[in-house]
Amino acid sequence: MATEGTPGQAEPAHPAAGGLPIFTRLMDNIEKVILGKREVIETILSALLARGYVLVEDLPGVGKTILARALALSIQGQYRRVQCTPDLLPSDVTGVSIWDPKEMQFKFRPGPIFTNVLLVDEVNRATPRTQAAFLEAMEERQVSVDGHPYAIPKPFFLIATQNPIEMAGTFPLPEAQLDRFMMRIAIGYPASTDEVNMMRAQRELHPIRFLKPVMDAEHLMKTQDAVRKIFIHDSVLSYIQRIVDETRRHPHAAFGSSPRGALHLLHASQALAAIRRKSFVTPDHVKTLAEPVLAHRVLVKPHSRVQGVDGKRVVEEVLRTVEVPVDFEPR
Amino acid sequence: MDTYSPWRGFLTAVAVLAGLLGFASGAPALVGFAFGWALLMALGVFASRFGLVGLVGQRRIGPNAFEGDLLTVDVVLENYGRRAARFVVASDTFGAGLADRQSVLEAGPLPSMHRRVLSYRAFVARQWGLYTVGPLSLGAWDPLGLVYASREIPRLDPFEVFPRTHEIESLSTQAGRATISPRDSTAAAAGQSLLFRGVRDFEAGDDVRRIHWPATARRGSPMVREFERDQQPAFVLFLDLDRRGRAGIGRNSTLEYLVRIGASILWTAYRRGDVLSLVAEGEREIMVPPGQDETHLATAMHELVRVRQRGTTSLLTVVDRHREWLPSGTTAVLLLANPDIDLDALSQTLQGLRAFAVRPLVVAVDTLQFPPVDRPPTPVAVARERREALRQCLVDLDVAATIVGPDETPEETLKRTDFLKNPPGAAS
Repeated sequence: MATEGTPGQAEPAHPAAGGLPIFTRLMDNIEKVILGKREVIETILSALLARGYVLVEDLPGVGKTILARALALSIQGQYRRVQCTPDLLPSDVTGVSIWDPKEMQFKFRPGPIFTNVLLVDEVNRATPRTQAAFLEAMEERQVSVDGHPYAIPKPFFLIATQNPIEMAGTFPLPEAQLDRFMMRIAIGYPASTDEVNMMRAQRELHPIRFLKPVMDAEHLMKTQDAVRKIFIHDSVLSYIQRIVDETRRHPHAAFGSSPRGALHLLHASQALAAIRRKSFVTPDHVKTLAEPVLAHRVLVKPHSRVQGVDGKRVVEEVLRTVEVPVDFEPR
Repeated sequence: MDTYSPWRGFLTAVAVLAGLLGFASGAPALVGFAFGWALLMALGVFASRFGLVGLVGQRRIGPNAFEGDLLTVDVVLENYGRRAARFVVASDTFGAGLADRQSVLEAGPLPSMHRRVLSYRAFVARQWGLYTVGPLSLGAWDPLGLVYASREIPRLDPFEVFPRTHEIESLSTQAGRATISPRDSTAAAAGQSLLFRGVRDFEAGDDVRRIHWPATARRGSPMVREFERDQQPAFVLFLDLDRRGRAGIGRNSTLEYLVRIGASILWTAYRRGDVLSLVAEGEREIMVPPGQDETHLATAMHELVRVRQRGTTSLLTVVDRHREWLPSGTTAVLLLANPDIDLDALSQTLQGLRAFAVRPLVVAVDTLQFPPVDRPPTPVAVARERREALRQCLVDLDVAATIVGPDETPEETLKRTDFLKNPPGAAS
């Protein structure tokens, strides 16, 4: 089994990552408004550092919006929110070229997607046409309006939410679009003590008003570049490949994870290693993120779905069966 | 799992003999050997039971599966004791499988206040119906492997086996629109959908976001885009549970045909993305309200595998009672268990459904061809005459229908390409 260093031993920060303790400050900053959800914050930060997007599937009122706002404030980025409804048009997201009769030309009015942190609330309430408008932005980091491409400002981080209840009248995200999300996570209800602390903290004013940025957008981009240089041993790469391959062979899975899933798991694991102040990726990092990264990419057979089997269960079983590499030494 | 140790039996027999011989001959060594063995056995019993102290097991399994499915059953082993647990055997009984018991070994060590998930694979080998899973038992050997102690956790989980389903080709192609998604169907009216209808002049009240700017630039006056209206496809299965439809035994019974065909019809509707519902009236009224997702299908299947033909109400009465709440555009399948019905009433019911813009389909199981169980057999000529009358009635009404008899299995019927495609006997 790969080890994470001897307990108590000083762990050197990776030189390429440039001041890694910044992540601790970033997490502490966000935790001022989202109490007791350090693991969730860590997972979302992994996606942010790996240049991925996150789909949050949870009930209303658990703090999805606040989390996105806190993240945007912490990285000193611009934040915008799109509330999806069935009558939301693609042009409401991307922007629209309006005809100016005085100047006899089209003028582009950018939509809310031109921001650093975008919260797409209840994405499954938008029609597939509008959902598809996000596709180009997510993959190419640009939008095309009237045949003209417009670049989205960097860094760009998208958090989409969807509600697991009240599915009537919604348009479930197609597999192609789900695959573009690096992770699907759930925030969950806070623990009882955290809930009391939350009420105490927000008795008068919301603590998000006092949130100060801990890094700027440029620093974040440099960190994102540095995270990609975190070392990963071939045996761990092979471990990721075997996990992904097993999701394709699982008896409950109609289709397993895509190669993009493997890439996302690799990059997210590198980011998690950086956050945990490691200079290399261990199988534990991979195992921690396998479920949020892969579960939504596994298409379960219809028969199995009726039995209550979902992607999460398939990934859990795969993690139990795939052998963990034990014979590598970090360089 | 074999919990008998041959060494224990042999050595116990030797110890008893030695003890008796020792007492008879007055040899203290032989008596000491017997006593030592008894002490060792007592320690073994204590050690094996001690190994189970603080161990809790619980099963995680879905509530249902289809015939022939391969399942993974998780057994979560939690150690609340103070010592690490080793060599614990968890044995479970999966009622819908062929094996008597399934055993999984946790070699350990499982530290205190830790849990581990063990899994076993089970094959659903039984036919549709209601089964149980459990009880779960935990067992452990003493360190010498002489004594096995076990503790039963008396928890039984209900488990339902659904019939193996087949997608009905004719139903999956009807009313579906392959161009965009099988879930959507559109009406030729303005509204919100994916289907672009055209561009028209701006009118007061139009959403400015719908202005089509290129068209506006060309025309010099505002133009708006228009789309077609979405229509949610609905599907309802009316199941005949009248006791007069009872005939045949076991796999060759009308109930078997009703349940298997009904399950495949519901499955096809679910796969099409329809909002499906189930209505039946047996000894109790069954009403699964309209819904769409897999949990809803599971609820409908749950009702289907529990039905019994004990009703006294005709299916046509049930249909007439529920007709008014069926939204227009619904597909209604009438699964009849008895062809010997009032054809005028059937005709009125089907025409009534059409008057509400509901598309009727009929599947009739020919009860008169099955061996009767609670009535004298119907003469062959009479049975043929009634079947022909029903067929002619359905042809006259131009209703897509199928009449099913015992000469072919439900699976063969469902795989027929003309199943529910045309009026019975008509060319496809």
